[in-house]
Amino acid sequence: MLSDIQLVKLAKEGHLNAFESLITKYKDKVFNIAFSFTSNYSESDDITQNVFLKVYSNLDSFEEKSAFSTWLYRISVNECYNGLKKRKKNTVSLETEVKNKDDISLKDVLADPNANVEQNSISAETQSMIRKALLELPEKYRMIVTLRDIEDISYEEIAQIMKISDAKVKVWLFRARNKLKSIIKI
Amino acid sequence: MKCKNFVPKISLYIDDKLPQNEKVLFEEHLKSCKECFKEYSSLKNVRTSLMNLNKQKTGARFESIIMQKIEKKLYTPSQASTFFQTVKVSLLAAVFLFAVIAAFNFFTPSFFDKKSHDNIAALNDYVLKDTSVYDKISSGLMG
Repeated sequence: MLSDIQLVKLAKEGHLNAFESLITKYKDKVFNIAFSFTSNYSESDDITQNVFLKVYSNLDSFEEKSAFSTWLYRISVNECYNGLKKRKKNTVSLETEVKNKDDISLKDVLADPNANVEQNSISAETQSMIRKALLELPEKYRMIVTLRDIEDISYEEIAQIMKISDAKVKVWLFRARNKLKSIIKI
Repeated sequence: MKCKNFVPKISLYIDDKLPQNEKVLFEEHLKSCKECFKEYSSLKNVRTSLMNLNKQKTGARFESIIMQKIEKKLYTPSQASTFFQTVKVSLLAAVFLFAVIAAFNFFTPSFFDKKSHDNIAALNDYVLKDTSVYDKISSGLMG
């Protein structure tokens, strides 16, 4: 199996099937980041498509100083922010919808902290409530918990993706989790 | 370790980012402080819940949709290239037209020169022969 760098090189040379392999490898990760940020399938699909079209258009500018995935996630984060700006211009935001609803109380339905993550056993209702709680977080906090807690990306890579210092990653992550904890009233 | 200093480190402890010496102090404090343990459990709970969220997936035809868009982009001329193509054709047409006119003038100079020369000469003769015509026309216009 070819590495990302090899696939990027081939794609730069015009081999479309190499680029298709990169899409196959990363499409769900990018989609999942967008979905965690928007909680909307259609928007997440648009964002994911835009990400890969931008990646293809700018492939020549990728200088391989960082990992391909870091560059890809960086574009994904920007597209999420851009998508949000467009949404704020055009429609009532989802955050407003959530704020108008009754307070979310997840205390009794959240996952057991000692549970095995592999089991992935939280109910659809709980999933939906957590996603709504995520939407109440400020954008930067929503993005940082998405990258760290949902996508399991390292602190160092998050710093590169979000273009912030390592110290800021630690502070934002603590604040984001703390705020999320208050929203879901644990 | 005081609770005030302890709380901000919970997040780092959850991610196993504390240096070993701080980790030991942290764990000792956790055993003895119920409040901090509660705080730790809550944050750990948040992280576990986020990790347990179902992974979302793109549609089955995602790759083919993107590849179609890329291929369409590759084989459809952009607006800029269409504009430059139009400018190029217009310039070629102008050059061709100029060449035709120049060639026509080059090969038939005597016809035009002779005809216009004859016309001017005839007009001069007419005015010189009968100056009263000129006066009549002028007074008619003034009157």
